[in-house]
Amino acid sequence: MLDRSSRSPELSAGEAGRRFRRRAVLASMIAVMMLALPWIAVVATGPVAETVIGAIPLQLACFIAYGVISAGALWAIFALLWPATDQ
Amino acid sequence: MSQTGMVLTGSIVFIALMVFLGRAAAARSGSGPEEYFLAGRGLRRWVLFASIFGTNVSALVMLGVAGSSYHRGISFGLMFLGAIMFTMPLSFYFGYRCWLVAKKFGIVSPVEFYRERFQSDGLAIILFLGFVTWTIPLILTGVIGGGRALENFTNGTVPYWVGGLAVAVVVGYYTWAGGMRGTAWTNTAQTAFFMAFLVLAVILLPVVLGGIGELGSGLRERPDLIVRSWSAPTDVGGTISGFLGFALMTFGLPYVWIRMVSAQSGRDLRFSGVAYPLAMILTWIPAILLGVWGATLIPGLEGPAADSIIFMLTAQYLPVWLSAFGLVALLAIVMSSMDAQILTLSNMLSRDVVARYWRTNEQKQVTYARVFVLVMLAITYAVSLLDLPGVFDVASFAVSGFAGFYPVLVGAIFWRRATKWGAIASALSAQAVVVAGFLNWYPTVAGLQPVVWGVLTGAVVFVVVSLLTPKQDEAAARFHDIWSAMNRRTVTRPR
Repeated sequence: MLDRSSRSPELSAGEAGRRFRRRAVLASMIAVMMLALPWIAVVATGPVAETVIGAIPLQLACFIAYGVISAGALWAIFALLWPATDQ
Repeated sequence: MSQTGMVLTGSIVFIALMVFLGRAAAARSGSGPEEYFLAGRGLRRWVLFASIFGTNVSALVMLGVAGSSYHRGISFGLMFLGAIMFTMPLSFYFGYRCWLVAKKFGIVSPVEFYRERFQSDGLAIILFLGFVTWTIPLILTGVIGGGRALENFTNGTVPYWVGGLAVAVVVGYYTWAGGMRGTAWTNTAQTAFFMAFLVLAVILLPVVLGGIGELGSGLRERPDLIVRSWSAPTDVGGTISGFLGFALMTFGLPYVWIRMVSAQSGRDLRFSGVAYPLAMILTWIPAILLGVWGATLIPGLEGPAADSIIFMLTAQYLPVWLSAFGLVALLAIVMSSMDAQILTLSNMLSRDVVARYWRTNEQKQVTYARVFVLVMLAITYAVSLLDLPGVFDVASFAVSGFAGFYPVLVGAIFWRRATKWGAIASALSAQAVVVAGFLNWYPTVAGLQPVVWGVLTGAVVFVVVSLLTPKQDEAAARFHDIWSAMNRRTVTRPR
């Protein structure tokens, strides 16, 4: 979780806007990386028959890993973009 | 106890639990539309998550994913699940923006939300008709699926018409009685049931068959099942189409939208987003694996017959109790989508048609909604008794129809300059392109399906027409000022 205590309540509208845009750019970079990841994996491995490891193909293991990384990436994006108080 | 006896017992216990939860939710609910349609905007963490996940995950996972994995191996699952696992839950951030505004202005349905955003009854009517058109076939497949499942699992002891009726009556009861709270509570139990079944089945099957190595040796003779195929329908075009359709669909589903604005807080929504990919792993991975293993254990199934592979495996290799649990899981997954769909339609009919044009009071809106729940289920059940071979094609195509509204739904919450004329033109053009594609009125180019062309057309038309038509500053400011303030709160602590 980002350190929200470091935030100043005194930020001007312009400063707040710039800071939000920086966060949005960072969140977008995470999103683009997550979208690119499966395609990089496909290009890197190619359409080659992988070894069957305990009946669970390598792709499925990667797929599970991608799911876990997705949860982390979503947490990070939401931490960047979600308001400090949302009640 | 015989297999049929155990299946019947399991079904009766499950149905009794659903009725009990519906009654309990009704007893906890107050009066008024917000209570009935949105559970008083009080859904929290696990209940909120389970109600959204259970609603969004349909019988497609247990039947379609497993069946496709049986025929095509892991390609289907990987095609649909790769980036979708990440992009689908991003919808929760969009949902949060809607939640903020809906809470402030007391908005209950997506049609109402976009009507207010654009100050346009015309757009509201188009959205209403679109949502209804694409939702009805989904409800219909739920009744048909439930009826067929009960008939097959009990070897005909429960005929199709009785099974379908049982599903319709049970869903009708707890939706009628408990409204959103009733469906959210039952969805929580239903989601737990179908996830538990899939996980149990994928663990117990290798155990019963002498270890995972035994299953692996079968797969070594079918390497095609474990290699990502790039031929149609899982070619590049199909992959992009599937990704776009499923990733965009979530926010376009009115019954998911309504659950999002039922959250008690933004934090609860945020939790749902982060938990979503993990829940998808727990449901899709077992379905894919069981489908692939099924291809080596029970080979030779043709076409849709493979859709039942999970239940064939449980019946043939696993204990009888798990087979009975399988039916409960299938009923759970069917009902968890059906109840949300029927409640949403009744919500929109009551709020966006009756209350809007006949000015009823708030209590009567709930009464009308309850009547609509029962009437629509009765009509759906009657139609399910007819032989409608095309209904499953239309239902599977509904994903594209919902996704066609995406440019309007998302553009409206991120772009101040968007106008009602842009929104109307976008919605109409996207739906026209999607439907024309369904009817094969234009050729498939590069494997890209109608959903891609529909969304692209809708997005371009939305931007161009909005820029060419007069601004709606006042209407936009009413919503966007709230979101601008939200952005400021993201980086500064409110005073």
